[in-house]
Amino acid sequence: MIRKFIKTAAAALSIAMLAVAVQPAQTMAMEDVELVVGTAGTDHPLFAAGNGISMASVIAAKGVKVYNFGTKGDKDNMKRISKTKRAINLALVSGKGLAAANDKMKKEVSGLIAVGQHKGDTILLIARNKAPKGLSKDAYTKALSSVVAALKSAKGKKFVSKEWKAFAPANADAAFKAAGVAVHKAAMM
Amino acid sequence: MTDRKFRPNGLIAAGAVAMALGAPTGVAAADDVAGFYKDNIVTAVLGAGPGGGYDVYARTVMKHLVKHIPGQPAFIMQFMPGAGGQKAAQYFYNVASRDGSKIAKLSNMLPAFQLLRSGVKYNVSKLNYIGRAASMQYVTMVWHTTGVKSLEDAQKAKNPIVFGSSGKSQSNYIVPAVMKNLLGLNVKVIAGYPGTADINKALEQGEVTGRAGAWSSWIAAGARLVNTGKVVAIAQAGTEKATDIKNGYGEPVPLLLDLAKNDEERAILKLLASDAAMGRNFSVPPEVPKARVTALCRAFDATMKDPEFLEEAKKRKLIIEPKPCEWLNAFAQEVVATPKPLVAKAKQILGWK
Repeated sequence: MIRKFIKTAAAALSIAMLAVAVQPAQTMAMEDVELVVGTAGTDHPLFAAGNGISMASVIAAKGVKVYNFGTKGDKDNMKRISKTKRAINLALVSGKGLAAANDKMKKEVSGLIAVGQHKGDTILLIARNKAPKGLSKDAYTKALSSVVAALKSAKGKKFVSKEWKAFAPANADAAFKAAGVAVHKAAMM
Repeated sequence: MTDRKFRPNGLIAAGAVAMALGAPTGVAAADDVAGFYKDNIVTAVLGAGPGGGYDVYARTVMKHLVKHIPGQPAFIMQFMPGAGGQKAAQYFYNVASRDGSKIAKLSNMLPAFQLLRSGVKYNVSKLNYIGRAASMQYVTMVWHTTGVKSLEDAQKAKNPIVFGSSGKSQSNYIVPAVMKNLLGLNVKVIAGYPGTADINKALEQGEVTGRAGAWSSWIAAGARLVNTGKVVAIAQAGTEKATDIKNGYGEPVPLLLDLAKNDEERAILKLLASDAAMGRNFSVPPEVPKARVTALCRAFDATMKDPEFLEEAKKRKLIIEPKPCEWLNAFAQEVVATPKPLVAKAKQILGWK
């Protein structure tokens, strides 16, 4: 009787362990997080930079893809990133453009990194604070951190630099502070 | 066993003959295509912003299309809204690389715009369409209190049907303009609404009594109005008749194209309804190597039959009515070959200069 019980319990435990073992495979099969980065007009160098960022994300980031959105530049990016519906998740903005945005908009975003210089101003990559629909805050932070890591990686740098020669990823805490924007947790991971 | 031994020998022999003749074998051509795509990231260019119908169709198709392209490349999306899709079309035609790494989902109005609009910097007949995922059948709906339940009722109506529109270059303007100026219906158009949702709101508030919109949009964003009978379908604009769309009497809704009284009217109606047939189309720029275009066409066909793609499309409530590249390219050529005097008449009907 006891033997039979032990056998049944062992079988049940094996099934449970097998189920747990299958879990990572299911997680791996999950779809990539898709984020949209607002850049600039199609003839602007930052639009090309956006293509590089997209490619770098596909090649060097884990579980996240960034898509490029050709916008009208700084003001348009700030407007779109702080929208309630169909907002973009990331944006390339100049230091001056970010500083000039209103306080309400600034509260909606956080800083990630500096990506280079254009016309004497630092170009910053910022992220919307609110996670996209259906994505937890933690998963969003992880995705953003993966983008930052991809852009700083040798592979990522190669892809973006090919599209935009001025690409030079760097921490930009001081620039964000000067513009009145907090630094995102993902930038510090 | 004999068969097994024979096959490679046969292939080697065939390859040797082909090499001797200087002709590339099918295998070699396929290998070149696979080699190219394996080393490249495909960019999907969209003439719209993220979040709308263009985006949902493009992302869903691209996700499955790349599995069927030899070399199975990764892909990224590039949103390029502006000027009703003209900005993306002009970039795609004139600037985008011509190696097959750029695929676009451009406006379905391109062939018509090429003839009807000035300052167009592309030639549709040189684009390489790789396939269509769905048509964009436009359905004319009227508010239930008008008493109009069919196109015949509309033809007899004493009070005008007032259509809401978002702009003169939009189908929600073109369709009622055709109904009024070519088919003689008692119709008025109020343009200037920001979008479909605003026109639907205007319908409910009694500001307007009709809207022409894509069937896919009616059954998605306008489902509440359709399912509760608040709006009644009276006509469809396009070249392929959908038989499952019924009017207020439960009869299939007629195609405006079928109301043409002569060949001339039929040609004009076909030009103005060409956007519906062009539908959710995908293309690559001119001068892309032929082997890559062919591979993309066949990959597109395979995608349209892929059970995983069809399941995802169903989940996302996307209508799938595919057409192969050969059909789409021939149709686009036919549209841009519309004789100039008829194009002039079409412009007159729309009030375009």
